[in-house]
Amino acid sequence: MTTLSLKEVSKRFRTVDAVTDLSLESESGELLTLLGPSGAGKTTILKLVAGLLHPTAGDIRFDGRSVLAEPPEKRRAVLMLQGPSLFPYMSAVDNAAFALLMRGTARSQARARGVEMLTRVGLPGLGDRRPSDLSGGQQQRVALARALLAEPRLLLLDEPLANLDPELRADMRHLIKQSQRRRAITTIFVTHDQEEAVEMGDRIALIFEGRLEQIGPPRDFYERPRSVRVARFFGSQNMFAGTYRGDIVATPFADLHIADGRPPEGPVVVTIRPEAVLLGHGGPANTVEGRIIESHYRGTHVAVRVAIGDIVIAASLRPDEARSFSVGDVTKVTLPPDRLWMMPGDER
Amino acid sequence: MFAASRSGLDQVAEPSRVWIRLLPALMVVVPVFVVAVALALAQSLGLLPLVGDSRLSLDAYRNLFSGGELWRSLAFTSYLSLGSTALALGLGVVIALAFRHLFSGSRFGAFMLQLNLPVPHLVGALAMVLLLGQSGLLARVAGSVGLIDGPAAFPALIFDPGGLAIIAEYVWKEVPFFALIALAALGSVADDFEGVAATLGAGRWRRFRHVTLPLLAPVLLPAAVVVFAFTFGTFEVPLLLGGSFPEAMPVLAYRKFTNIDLAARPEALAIGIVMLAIITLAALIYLRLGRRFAGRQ
Repeated sequence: MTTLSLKEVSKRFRTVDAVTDLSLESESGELLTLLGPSGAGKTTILKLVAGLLHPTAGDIRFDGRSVLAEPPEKRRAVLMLQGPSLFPYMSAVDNAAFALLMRGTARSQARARGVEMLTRVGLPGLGDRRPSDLSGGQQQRVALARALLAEPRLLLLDEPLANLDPELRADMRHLIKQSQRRRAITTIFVTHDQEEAVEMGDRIALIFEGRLEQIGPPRDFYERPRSVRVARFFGSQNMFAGTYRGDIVATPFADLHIADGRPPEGPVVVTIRPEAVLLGHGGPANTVEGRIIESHYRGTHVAVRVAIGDIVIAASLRPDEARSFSVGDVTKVTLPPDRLWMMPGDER
Repeated sequence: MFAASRSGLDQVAEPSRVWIRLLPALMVVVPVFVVAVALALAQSLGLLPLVGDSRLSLDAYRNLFSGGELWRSLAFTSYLSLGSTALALGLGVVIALAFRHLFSGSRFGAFMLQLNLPVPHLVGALAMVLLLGQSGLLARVAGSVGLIDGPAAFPALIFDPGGLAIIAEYVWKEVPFFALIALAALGSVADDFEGVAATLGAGRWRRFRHVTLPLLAPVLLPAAVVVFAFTFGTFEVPLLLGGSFPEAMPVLAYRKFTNIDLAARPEALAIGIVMLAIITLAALIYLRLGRRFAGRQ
């Protein structure tokens, strides 16, 4: 059980700022996903925490104590990489027991614990195989066993599932989360896949260009994005520019009442999740008329697009709800005030 | 994806096709090699003599193996090639480790390392004479700055029984070869492995011992076998830089081959056959090493 905190950490490579002024706290035992597009500096952050890189400025603390003076082998912040990083010249069990062997545990004892851990990650009886004789998924299981046997204070996972096919990936997500929960290991999980970040993370830290853009529970990123970039990264479809004054946002298609979110008055962008948009039954506020121009069945829901003048709003209906609408219908469109979210409008 | 699978197919192309591609080269190499070896073998066995009767005998081998000359020469030659290979290997690894991050992606670095690769051994050997000889550059500099009384007081580094100049030439020539191979093997993959090992608690020395070395071994050991075989058979370097005693095997063979006494010729060729056997053994070790490491990767 370890807390990690980064205090105004920066990392500069010659002329490139990889990480800038990053402050971040993880709670003990939580799984924090570091999410961001590739090149955002996520791997650099992991390497800084692991001790493989040294920050240009700032401090990194485990349980409140700075670890900057400690080399990686003393930090017990164990890294697991995307590629198969098993040592190719060692058997699976020797790989799994690597940390124990490095700490001077007797070979027979280390191997026994390696075999046990391999069984626990679902690889019984494969201990004598070389990594080259294992599938990609099996290799990542061995890598997980190796990381867990190191009894890490922090587990640092750098897109460990990126090379696996979708079915294996789901299994591995489950295994990682289960192992992490059971041992309450504070874990940083790096990914560029927002779906994976949402599924894995207790909280998400979204990184753009080496800076922390937003941190919080996954739900916030869909319902309360801090900026248009965040909303766009999470696939927000409905974003309307407007001007905020009083409790009203004036948009080209309607004056919208808003219940939540109070940026300074002026230009804003309003967003709403498609599933929050109501069709047909008029509400007390924010109801306008629109015409259904598209409707696509998607299995779990029906994606509908409604035109209000020049503006198109995406809505998501349950299949049974959708039955009462067809393309071309004119209907009432309600944007409930408590589901609308405002973001500062004066940025890209 | 498509490109990858295509090159994958290429790699497993039927062996017959590989042979067809090699055919033009093989047509030149194989007959010359086979005929040369056959002639050498025949002459070493007393067949095809230049004087006297043709008579199958192992006399040449018997004389060689019973005298001390061959054994001393074999020991000296082995010492030269094993010593220089080990030194060059060690230095090459040290250089690669020292420069791996400095040179990564630097064309200038790679160029500097490769600088002496195209220089022939003959030229290298002459340079050693000019540099290390008692009338050479080092001796003159040492004499003129008063480190030694005169050029003649300079230690005998060439033509010496320890073969120091020979080893120096081999090492000078082969260090960049090992360093380049090691640098190639120490790409970003090695960085990742070492990084992961560090976070798993391996300190500097253990990382070197349990990660870096095992990654280098599969490429460096076969290369070392090749360098050993090459230096074992090199003629011009020990001829130019070696003393008259002990003689390296190729020099000994040459001296016997050019002896006025034509009866010495079978012995010269027998020495050649012994060298061929040793180099063939090295080649077999090379193949075995390659297969063993291939199975691991």
